[in-house]
Amino acid sequence: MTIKAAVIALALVVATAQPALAHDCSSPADCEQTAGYNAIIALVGGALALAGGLIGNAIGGSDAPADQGTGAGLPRKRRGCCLGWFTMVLAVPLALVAVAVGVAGVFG
Amino acid sequence: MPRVDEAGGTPAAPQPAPQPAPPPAPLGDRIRAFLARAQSEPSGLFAAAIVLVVSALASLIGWIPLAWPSQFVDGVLPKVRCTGFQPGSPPMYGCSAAVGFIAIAGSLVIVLALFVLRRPIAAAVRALTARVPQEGRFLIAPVVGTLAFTIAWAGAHHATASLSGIVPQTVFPAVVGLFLYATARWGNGIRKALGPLLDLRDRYAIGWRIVAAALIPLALSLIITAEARVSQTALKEQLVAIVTLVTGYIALLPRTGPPLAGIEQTLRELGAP
Repeated sequence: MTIKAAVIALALVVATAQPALAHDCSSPADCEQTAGYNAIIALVGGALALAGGLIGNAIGGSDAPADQGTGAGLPRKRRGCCLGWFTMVLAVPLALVAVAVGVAGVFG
Repeated sequence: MPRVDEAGGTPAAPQPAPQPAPPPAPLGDRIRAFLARAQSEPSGLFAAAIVLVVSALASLIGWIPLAWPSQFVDGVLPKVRCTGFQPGSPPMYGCSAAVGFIAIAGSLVIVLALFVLRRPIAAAVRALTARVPQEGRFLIAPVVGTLAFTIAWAGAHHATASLSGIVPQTVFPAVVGLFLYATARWGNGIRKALGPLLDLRDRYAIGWRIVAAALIPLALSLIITAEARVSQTALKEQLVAIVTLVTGYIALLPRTGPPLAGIEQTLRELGAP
């Protein structure tokens, strides 16, 4: 009887202690509790939200409601550009994938 | 003996036979009338609420099937765990960021592909969208935007879909639907309100604006997740994602014209397909 109670108590302790021991990115739920994972998912997620908005606008934007507001703002000042920023913006995620895969090779 | 009017004593007019109640209008007509009434409401808030509800439903329904493409791509990538690092340490930050990037890489690939192919897709589904009743067409862009973002968000959160932050994770993509409606409906007002900020923004080249649009939410994320074990994970993710969406919008918002079409034009000037 005493042994059975001790086993049950031990099982309860292990079951409740397990989440406290984690937060080392050992599972998807645990990864969410690490700052780096949380930051990257949110940051890339936000950028993809904007991309999703542009996709939605390209497909259904012509049927969007008319803007009822006033004040169209000032004309945009033309700036020098075209230094390949978009290419860089695309290149950075690809480089990060390469780095992440490299990290996977080292630590995986 | 005919009935007489008690007051005047004249014969009462014969009562008309009660008309049967008209049959209820078909459901489709009632929905169209409801949507038309929502759009005619001057503030736009009624229609915004409808957009939010419909987008949330689209996200909820599409959550599982739209996660599959990202899951498939993720399945090809290697699995990484960071069990060898001290929780909360800089190496753990780097390792978990790498894991996070691998987790969302599949979504990134799929959404970028959709972005590149957005015009052919728009042409392909034009016949379909043309069949949507006029009263409901204001919902097309929000629903499509929501579904596109659901691919990304569901793909990265298929294992943690039960978590809840500002809203449950499964309906969070609806923010894109609301964002699309808000930018179309109140774009000029938003631009006017942001006037001083846009003046400040215009002092810098577009590249620096994009860098700032990424660094601001990154700094926010660093501040609010500065814990050995991050608490309220879904809430913080959603908050940073919304801030990223807003900073990206402000960085690219054109001074005149339709906001999102202008952003697309800006990206094209920068070499986007």
